[in-house]
Amino acid sequence: MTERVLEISKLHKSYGDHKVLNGVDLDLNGGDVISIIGSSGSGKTTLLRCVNLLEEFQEGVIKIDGREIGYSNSKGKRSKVNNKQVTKDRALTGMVFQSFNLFPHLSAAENIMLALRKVQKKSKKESAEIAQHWLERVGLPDRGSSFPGQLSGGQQQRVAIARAIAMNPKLMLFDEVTSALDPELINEVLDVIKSLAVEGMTMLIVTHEMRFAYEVSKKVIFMNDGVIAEQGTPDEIFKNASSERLTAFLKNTRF
Amino acid sequence: MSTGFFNELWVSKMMIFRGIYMCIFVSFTAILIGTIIGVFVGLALTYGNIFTRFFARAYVDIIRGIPVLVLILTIYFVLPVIQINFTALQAGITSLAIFSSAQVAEMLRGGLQNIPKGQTEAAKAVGLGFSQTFIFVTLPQALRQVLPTWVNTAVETVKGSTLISLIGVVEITLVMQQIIGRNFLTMQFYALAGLIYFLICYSIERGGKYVEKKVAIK
Ligand SMILES: Nc1ncnc2c1ncn2[C@@H]1O[C@H](COP(=O)(O)OP(=O)(O)OP(=O)(O)O)[C@@H](O)[C@H]1O
Ligand SMILES: [Mg+2]
Repeated sequence: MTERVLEISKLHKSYGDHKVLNGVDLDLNGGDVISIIGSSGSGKTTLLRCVNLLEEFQEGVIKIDGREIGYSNSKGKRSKVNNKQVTKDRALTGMVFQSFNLFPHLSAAENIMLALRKVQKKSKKESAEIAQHWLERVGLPDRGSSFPGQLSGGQQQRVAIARAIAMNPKLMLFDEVTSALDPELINEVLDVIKSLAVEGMTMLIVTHEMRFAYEVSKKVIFMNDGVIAEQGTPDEIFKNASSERLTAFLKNTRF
Repeated sequence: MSTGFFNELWVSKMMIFRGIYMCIFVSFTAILIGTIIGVFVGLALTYGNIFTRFFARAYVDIIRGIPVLVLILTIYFVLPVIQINFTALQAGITSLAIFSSAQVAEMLRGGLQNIPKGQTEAAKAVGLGFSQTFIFVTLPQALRQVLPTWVNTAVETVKGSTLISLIGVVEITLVMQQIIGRNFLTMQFYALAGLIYFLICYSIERGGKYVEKKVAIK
């Protein structure tokens, strides 16, 4: 389990004149769990969105399983791959959003089944079985026929995790998935993510839950102003923070 | 008087039925064609490049700015000048279809743009392509949203269909005029016309409400 799953090098991204990512380098091996912390506006969400190809980026290379995604470089010329390939490359990663984004007109099971059927072209029966498997896995075995509006925030987010992971991605991306939740619902979602970590899922997690980051991660990354300002083991980051910026940041967060 | 009315009603029942049939046929066909065109124009408005958006926008704004009657008269009397000859029925259906297509296009654009960006992003993130996202994620939500407005357009189209009597299509209004011309029971037969239109429109509205309830997002 030590093959390189994700390889980001010299990633630069700006919105117009506004530089948001200023050269990010980051590697993940199979089974790695890496958490990204950092103050608001430091570019954490943008980084995940680039990996999921929801954003275009001006410079840099993102590779998954050793193959560049989103762009191709031939004879020194960089060009975007076509939409079909973007869709394919995007399917290599699963993304879970802060605001759940479940499809409100579909039941929980149908939310999970939709892409299994339409993208992976699986039969209805097989898709339903996979959906049920993951619903059980996230602790919602009998909520398959419930609609998002009938579920609590924590339950919705667990369905969203199931929907992403059912597609069997190489890598899961989590963007502050508990920030929109009432405090008493946060743990049920974090517990699901922890159990995925135990099972060896490769994950990149943006979070404000410092204790969770400490417990779940192999490595923690502190982002500041569009660069990785600091990185290390959870102990190095949380217990022996050296730089002024990181210390200041951690002082303003609860652990 | 009332025996006279029922007598006249009995005598002209077939004419009235044909008028009702014509009204429903014209309205139904116009709404169907108008909805199909409207979906494409609405798509162009929402996802088109700057040129298609421009033309779609111009089409919608111009049609919505023209009274239905002027549309009908133009298509029936002016188009022959450029060698496009429609029968009165074709002209009637075409103009009502154009009228409803602009309404449908505008409401669909609104419906699609109201759908949170997170929906398309989540659809992309699970690997759905552009058209799959449209068909399975955004359109079903947009349709639910625009259903009440769409029902409204259907009702407006039925009401607008009275106007094609002016180019000689024998629908409810013209039938009534013909009957009244024979028996001078003006009030009774116009009241009857009003009642028939009311019943048609009311049924459409009830039907719409029923479907709305059935497909409501829980
Ligand atoms: N679509 C956009 N257009 C222009 N600027 C954007 C856009 N999205 C993000 N930005 C800017 O990019 C910067 C980084 O945003 P990003 O959302 O990645 O930060 P973040 O680290 O995730 O912050 P938070 O902790 O608040 O979620 C911010 O300054 C933001 O204003
Ligand atoms: Mg963010």
